[in-house]
Parts: sequence; structure tokens; C-alpha cells
Amino acid sequence: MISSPSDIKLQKIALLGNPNAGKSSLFNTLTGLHQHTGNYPGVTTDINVGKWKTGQGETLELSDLPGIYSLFAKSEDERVVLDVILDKNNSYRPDLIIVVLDAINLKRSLMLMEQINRFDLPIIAVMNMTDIAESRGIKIDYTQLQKLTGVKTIPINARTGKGRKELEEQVNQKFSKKEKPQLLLEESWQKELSSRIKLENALHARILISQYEHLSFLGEEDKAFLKSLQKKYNLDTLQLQTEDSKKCLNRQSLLIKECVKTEKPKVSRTERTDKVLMHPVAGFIIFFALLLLVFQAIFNLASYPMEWIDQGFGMLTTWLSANLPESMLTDLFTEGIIAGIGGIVIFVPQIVILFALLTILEESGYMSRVMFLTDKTMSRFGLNGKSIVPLISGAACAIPAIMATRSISNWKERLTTIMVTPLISCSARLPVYIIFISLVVPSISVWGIFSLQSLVLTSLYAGGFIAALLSAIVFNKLLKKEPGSKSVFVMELPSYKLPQWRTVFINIYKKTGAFVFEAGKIIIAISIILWVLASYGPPGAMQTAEKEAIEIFESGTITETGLDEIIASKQLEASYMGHIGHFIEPVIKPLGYDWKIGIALLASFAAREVFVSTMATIYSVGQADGAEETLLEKLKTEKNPETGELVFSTAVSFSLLIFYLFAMQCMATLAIVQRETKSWKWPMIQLIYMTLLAYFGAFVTFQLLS
Amino acid sequence: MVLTELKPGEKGIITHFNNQQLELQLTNMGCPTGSTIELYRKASMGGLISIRTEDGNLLAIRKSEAMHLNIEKND
Repeated sequence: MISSPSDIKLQKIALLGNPNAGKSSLFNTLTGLHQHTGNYPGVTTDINVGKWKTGQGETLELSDLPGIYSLFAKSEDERVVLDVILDKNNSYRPDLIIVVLDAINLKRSLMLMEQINRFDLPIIAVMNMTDIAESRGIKIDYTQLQKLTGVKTIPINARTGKGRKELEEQVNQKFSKKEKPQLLLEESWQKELSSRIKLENALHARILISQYEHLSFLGEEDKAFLKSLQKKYNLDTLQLQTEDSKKCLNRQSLLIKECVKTEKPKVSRTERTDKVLMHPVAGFIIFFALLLLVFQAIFNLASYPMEWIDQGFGMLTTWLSANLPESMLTDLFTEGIIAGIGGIVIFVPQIVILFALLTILEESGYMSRVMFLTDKTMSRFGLNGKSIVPLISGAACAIPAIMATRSISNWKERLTTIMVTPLISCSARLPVYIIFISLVVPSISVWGIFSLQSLVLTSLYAGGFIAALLSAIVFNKLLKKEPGSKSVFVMELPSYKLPQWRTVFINIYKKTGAFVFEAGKIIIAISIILWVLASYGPPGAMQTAEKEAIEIFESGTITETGLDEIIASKQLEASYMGHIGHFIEPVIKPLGYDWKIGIALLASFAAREVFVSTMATIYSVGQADGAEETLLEKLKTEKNPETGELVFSTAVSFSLLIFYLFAMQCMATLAIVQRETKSWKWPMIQLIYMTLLAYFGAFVTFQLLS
Repeated sequence: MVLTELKPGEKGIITHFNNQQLELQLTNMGCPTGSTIELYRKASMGGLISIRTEDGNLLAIRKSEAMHLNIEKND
């Protein structure tokens, strides 16, 4: 890669507009895959930043600011925009703002533009959704509009990229600072404020007085001053903001009358579709049918590529160990690193399918109908209609699911969703479920139609979902409301539209990438640590173990297993990992587990699916084809050397199933929770409560069944 | 009367908000006092209530908050 000289500074441009105005569509169209997620300091909001290569050969830095309706922000997300506009020292402060106007929502789009236009940042506007507006008989006179607003406005189509050339030509012109109108402050509190803080206009004063508590760039003294001012003049800040917005809306109504003509609107397709999709009965039936389809796709469609990946990595490992010189380093590479990467890549097909389907459902406008239907039920559990997407995603993998909680604007409901999502049985639990179900649940059918094994599997998934809802109630009781968040739940139901394929593709690419790299680095790191713990032991112990293994092999007491497998098994017992397994045995004994299971539990802390392969090693099963069947046979006949009883009795197997149902055996999820909540407190609480749940759940199960 | 008393398809003019935060948010979304709204659909079991604003937008609010929205029914 060629590093660019540091003196070249990209021109910074920011996109700003109402939610659903097509801001992100435009962002994706302009930047393509040249985008990354910028981390906004101090808040959980991420800002997408991308490189915009114009036809004139310039590269501009484009950022996609959170969608807002008004500068009177109501959430942490929206206040990011205030920081960018009001704080002159903000690192995200752009050189130019592009306001994305929505042609079918002109009034409130123009209201936001008027607010921004009162500040000194240069702005231009793009008019999006012009095709829909045309079909609805809305005709806009752009010359007149520009004359009235004073802002250059370019009609575009964010989805097709129409109008891009005109926009790039506009952007390339140099923008001079706006001429400042004379500062007119009518009210005495505003005058008093301007004696301390340099005000740009009366709106500036109203924003400061009503939002000061949450503005990061104000110093404590300024905040104290604003507080005293608010008290002194007995200002009702909610009233003040509403009044300002109302007046602003009225001005836009008058403006629109002069430049927009609307013919009689027809009954829209959206309304007809909503009659079915938002129907209290039909709507739910369709939702559950779609949900079933999504799960079918995740589990069945993904199983083929998953098998190829599994085999591919198996072949790679075999080839590497055959062709690389035999050394500890080769072992680390094949058994630690390659196995770790394989454990991540195997989930990619499921994640790709899940996000393809979810993005289509969201982009089409359908997901907000689902939220409309489910909000009541979810709010009983302290969640919110918007929690449905993370909870569904959790069935594939908790990591993208937790990232999907960003759409929940209420912090308490978002945190609750984050805390309970890992209880949904993710696909990494499936191998563990399958092995123990096939071990102890007979493969018979119930009432002639259902297989008992799949019934048990289904109840495990249901159990995870119910546990998530019940935990949500508890968190809802315990968590405090975010200070300053008094926002009420208002959701938009956008009109239906065909998903934009570019957005679907970019979304899959970003989500999958985040999963592979975020989860990947942690899983690989842990895989290496675990490999070291399993490969090394106290001095001499490994050699002794090898000698013992050779003796056992030569004595001929174990016939069906090869020498290598016996050595691997004995060495694992002698390793540090084996010592830890023995060490924790007293703790896990009440759950019915011995030290061997203890080792597998510890090893699967990085990722749950490691449990099965560790069990295979401990029980000295070769990694040849059909390893799972041989492992199953081994587990079935394994006896406790002291009591002579079967180790994997029904009680122990169910105890393990329950343990895995609840346990937070996933470091990568904890890391994502830390990133999303910007604190180690929440992942730690999550780890503790889920481990306790798993421990006591398994304890009760074991004690009841044995 | 309050918003929740409307039936789907019926229209009314917003006369007063008993919840200032709701008023601010709806005003910012283009739905201030004095504007006409139509009840679009109600979710079952006291769930969300969706309205169509003067500009044709569909918004959904919780029933508990819709009770704070006073309207005058249009005939």
C-alpha cells in the first residue's frame, strides 16, 4: 500500500437529514465499499465514514450523521449532530453539509434545513424520493424553492445514483463562509446568555438552554450558568422548543405553497398492503411464517456451505501437518490458529443468509410493521418492538445480534436487549445439543408425527427464548433509566419499497466482516492460549504421559484406538489444562461432571463448539471421518472408574444441555458487549448472571434426574 | 376526546397534548397542534396506535401516550 502524504487533507462533507429520507442509501451510492465505522468519542453512536471519489478525480471524506428530525435532539444519537454543528473544535466538523430532503416529506425536511441554515456552516441540499413524489403527483419548482430557501438544491435518486454528476459539480465549487445576518435576540434571557456565550442566533440560544445538560463541549461553568438562567427566567424548555418548531413548520407550509403543486393523491399501495400485514391475526401468521422461513434458511440452506468449509479446513489441516516439518510450531499453527479460524469461518454462511434476509425485510419497510405488531408483547418484558430483530438474529450468532440493537433509541430497553440476547440459543450451541440429545434421547416418535429428539431440541430453543424474556423482566426492574432520556416511543412506518440491492450487499459485507474480524481476533487469541495450556504441562509430565500411553498401547488392553490418540489423551490429562480440570472438579461435581468434562467446559470458553472437539481429544477419538459417531460410541460406554457407573447418564447429559443453554461460553460476545456499552461493567454482569443461571440450572437438573 | 377513541379511518384535529415531550417529538416529525390526523390502524391488545399525518406519513405511538393526545373529531 502506498501511504498518502500527510499534508493532503480531505475535504470533509457530512450528510444530514430526517430518518428514512434515504441518507444511508445516498451514502452507500456515493462511497460503495470504501467505508468504515468511525467511533464517535463518548457515546455509543457509530458514524459511518467513507471515501467519496468524484468524477472530477477528487477524494472527499463523507460522513453519514445520525438521522434527526430537528436540532432539538431527544437522544444521545441525535445530539451527535449538535456537537458537529455547535462545537467549532469538533473533529467531525465538516466543511460542507449536504442536507438530504425527502420530496414526499417536504415540510419537516425543510424545517430541519432551515434550522441548519441558520448556522454558519455552508450547506447544499439534495432532493431525494423524487420518483415516488412524481408518482404521487407532487411537482416541485426548484428555481422557486432555491430562491425562497437560499440553498442550492439538486434533485437526485439515491438508489439509482441519478443526479450524482450535478451534485459532484456543485460540491467541487469552493464554498465561502456565509454572510452572517445580524444577531437578533428578542428575549432578555437570550441577551443575558449572549453576554457569556457567543451566540449565532436565537435558535442557538434555545438549543443551548434546553439541551445544555447533554452537550459535551460545554464546560461545567457554562452548564451551571445555563441552569441558573433557566431558573431565573423560569423557562419551560419543552414548551420553548415546541413553539420554535411549530413556527418553523408554519413557515415551511407557506414556502411549500409557493413552490410545490400536489394533485389529488390516490389510495396508496402501502395502505392496501398494511390491511394484511398489520392485521392483528393475518399479520402475525405472516410474521411467523416468515420467521420459520428465515430459520429454515439459516439451518438448512447454510448446512451445505458449512459442510464444505468444515471439510476444507479438515483437509487443509491434514495437508499442513503432513507437509510442514514436525514441530511444536507446526502444531500451534494447525491445531491452534487454523482450527481457530475454521471455527469462525464455519458460521459465515449462516450470518450471510441471516443478514441478507433481515436487510431485505428491513429495507422493504416490513420490519417496522413487525415492530408495530409485537411492541405491546415485548414491552411487557421491558423490551421494545425493535428488540425483535436482535432476538431473531441471536439464533444465528449473538455478535451481529448485539450490533443490531443500535436501532433501539431508548438506552434502557437497548441495554436490556443486549443483556438477554446471548440466552437465545445460537448456532454454536447446536453441535453440543445434538451430541447429548443423540446420546440420551431415544430416536422414537411421539404421537406418530414428531421425533422425540427434535422435540427436545425445539424445547431447548424455546427454553432459551423464555429465559431471555424472563431475564428481561428482571433487568427492566433493576436498571435505572438513562438520565435525561424522557423521550417517548414514536416510530415511523415507512412506505413499502423494493430493497436496494447495493444496500443489502454492503450490509452483508459489513456485518460479516465485523463478525469475522471482531470475533475472529478473540477466538484466535483464546484458541492459542488454550492450545498452550493443553500442549504444555509441568516439567517432565508430558514425557511421562507419553511413556504411559505407549505402555498401555503395548499391553494391548485398548485395542480399537491408535497409539497417537492414546498419547494425545494421556498428554492432555498431564497438561496444565488437565491440572485445571482436576482443580475445578469439586466445583462441578454437584452438576455431575468429572474433570474430563471440566476440561471441555474450560476449552469451550472461547467458543462453545470447541466442546465437541475437546471431548473427542480427551476420549482419544481420532479426527478421522465419522469422528462424531465414534465419539458418541465412546461417550455411551464411558464408565466412572470409581463407581463403575456410566458417566454420561441421562442426568449428566441433561445437566450439560441445561448448562450450555444458559452459559455465557463466548468471549467474543463479551468483547462486543463491551464495545457496544463502552464499559466492562455490563459484560461482567452478563458473564456472572449467565454462569450462575447455567450452574444452578444444571445443578437442579442433575439433582432432580439422578 | 382523545386519539384512542377514534376508529381506523376517522380523522381529527389535534387540539392539545397533555404530554409536552410527546408534543415536541410529534411537532418535530411534522405533526403539531392544529394539524389533522387520521387513525390508521390499532395493534391488538392495547398495542401501538398508528396515525397518518397531514403530510401522509405513518407514525406509531404507544397507547398510553396516545391517551395524552386530545383531538376534535372531523365529520
